[in-house]
Amino acid sequence: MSGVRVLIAILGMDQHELGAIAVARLLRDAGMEVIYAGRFNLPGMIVNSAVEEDVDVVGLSCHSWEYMYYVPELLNLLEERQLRIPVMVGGSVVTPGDTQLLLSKGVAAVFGPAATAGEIVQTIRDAARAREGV
Amino acid sequence: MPKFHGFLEDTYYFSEVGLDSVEEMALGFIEIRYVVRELLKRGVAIDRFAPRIAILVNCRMDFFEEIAKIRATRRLFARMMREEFGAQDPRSLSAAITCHTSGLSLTSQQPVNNIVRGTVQALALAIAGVQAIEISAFDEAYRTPSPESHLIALRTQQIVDLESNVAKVADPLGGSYFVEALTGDLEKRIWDMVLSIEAKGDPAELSDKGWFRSLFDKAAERYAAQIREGKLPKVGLNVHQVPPEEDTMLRDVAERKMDPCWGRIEQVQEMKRKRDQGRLAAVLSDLYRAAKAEGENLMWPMIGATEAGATMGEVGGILRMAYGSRYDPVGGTEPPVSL
Repeated sequence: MSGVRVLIAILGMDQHELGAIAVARLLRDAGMEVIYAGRFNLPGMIVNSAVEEDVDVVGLSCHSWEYMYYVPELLNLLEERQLRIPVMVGGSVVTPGDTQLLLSKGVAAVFGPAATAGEIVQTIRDAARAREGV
Repeated sequence: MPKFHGFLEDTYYFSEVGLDSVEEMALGFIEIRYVVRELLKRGVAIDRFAPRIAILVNCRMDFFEEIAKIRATRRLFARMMREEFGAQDPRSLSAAITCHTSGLSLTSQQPVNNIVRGTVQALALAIAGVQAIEISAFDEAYRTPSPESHLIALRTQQIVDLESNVAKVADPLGGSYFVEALTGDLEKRIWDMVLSIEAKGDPAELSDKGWFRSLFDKAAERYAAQIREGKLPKVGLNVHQVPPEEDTMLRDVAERKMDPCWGRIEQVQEMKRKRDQGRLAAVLSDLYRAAKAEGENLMWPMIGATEAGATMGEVGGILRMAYGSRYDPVGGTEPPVSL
C-alpha cells in the first residue's frame, strides 16, 4: 500500500519542535505524506485538520506537561464526531505511568525516547493498514 | 533600574537545535550588532546602552571548547565595541555573560548521569568566569523538572563554588597553551562567520528568506546523525547502555505530578474582573495604534497598559495583532477589548 497520510502536531504552548520535525522527516523519508501542523494546536484544530487532510494517523509530539489534559480531550472530540483515526503520542517526557493511562484511554501507540525509527514507521503503517481494512 | 539588562542576547534557545559553538556565537553577534546599529540609528549613544547588554550562552559537554568560546566572546565583544562602535566606557567593553547548561546534552537513559554532566558543565562555566549559571534539571530529558532536581542543580553550583574554590580566581586557564590556542581559533572562526553572514545581506531579510531556518535544519540533522552514528558519544544512549528494566534509579520522581498553580490563575481572573474596562480599552487601543505606526516608541504605551492592569500576555497579544498575526497563537483566548 502507498500514500499513508500522517498529521504531525504539537499541543498547546509546548515550544519544543525538534522532535516533531525529526519524526516528520523520518516518515517522509519512509515514503509517507506528512501534513505538518507545527506548534500551538488545540485539540479542536487538530481534529479539523485531520478531517480536512483526510489523514490515516494523528501523531502528537509532546515535550511539555499539557498532553495529559489535551490528549483525552482530543480523543473525546474524535469519538463525538465518530472519527476512527488512530492517535499516537511521541516524546521523551511521557512517563511509563502516563503511557499506560494514555493507552487505556484509547491512544494507539506511545513512543518514548528509546523508540527506533523502524518501530515508529512500522507501527504507523500497521495502523493505517488496519484502518483501510475497516 | 541601574542593574536591569534591557537587552539579553539569548544564544541558548536557538543553539539547542544542535548548533556548534562557532555557529552559536556567530549568530549571537549578528543579533547584537543588528540591535546596536538600530539603537545608534535612533541616536542613542553607545555608552548609554552597551553596559546593559547581557549574553545568555549555551554550555555543551566539550569542556575546554566551552571555556574557550566564552573567552573568545569576551575578546570579540570588547574589540567590536571599542573599534567598531566607538565605546569608551570600560563597562561597555565587558560582556555580562550568563549561561544555561545544555538540555540537549542530557539523556533520558540513566538520568542520574545528568547530574554528573551538570557538574562538568558548571565547572567549565565557573572556570570561564561567567556572571551567572543555571544548570538544567537532571530529569528534564524525561519530564517537566521536579522540585528535587531543581534543588540538586542549585546544590551543584554551591558545591562547585564553596567547596572546589575554582571561582576564587579570574581566568585560571589564561596562559595555558591549549586553551589560548583554542580561544584564538574560535575567535577567528566566529568572526569569519559573522562577516560572511553580513556579506550575504541584511540579516532581517536573510531571516525572511529562511536562510537561518535552513542553517538550523542542517544543524539539527547533523546533530541527530552524530548521535545515531555514535560520532558524538552519549553515555547510556549510544554507548554503555543498560537494559530499560535496569534503568530505574531516580525514575520514580518522574511519575509525581505537579498541578498548575490554580490559586494564581484564580487571582489573575479576579484581577481581570475588577479592573477598569474603559481605561483598559483606552490603553490597549493606544498600544495597538502605536505598534501599527512606523517607528513609535512602544515603551510608554506598554507601561501605560500594565499600569491599567493589562497582563503581559495581553500586551503580547495586542502587539501580535498589530504586526498581523493572531492575538492568541493557540486560538484559546480573545482580546479583552475590541479594537
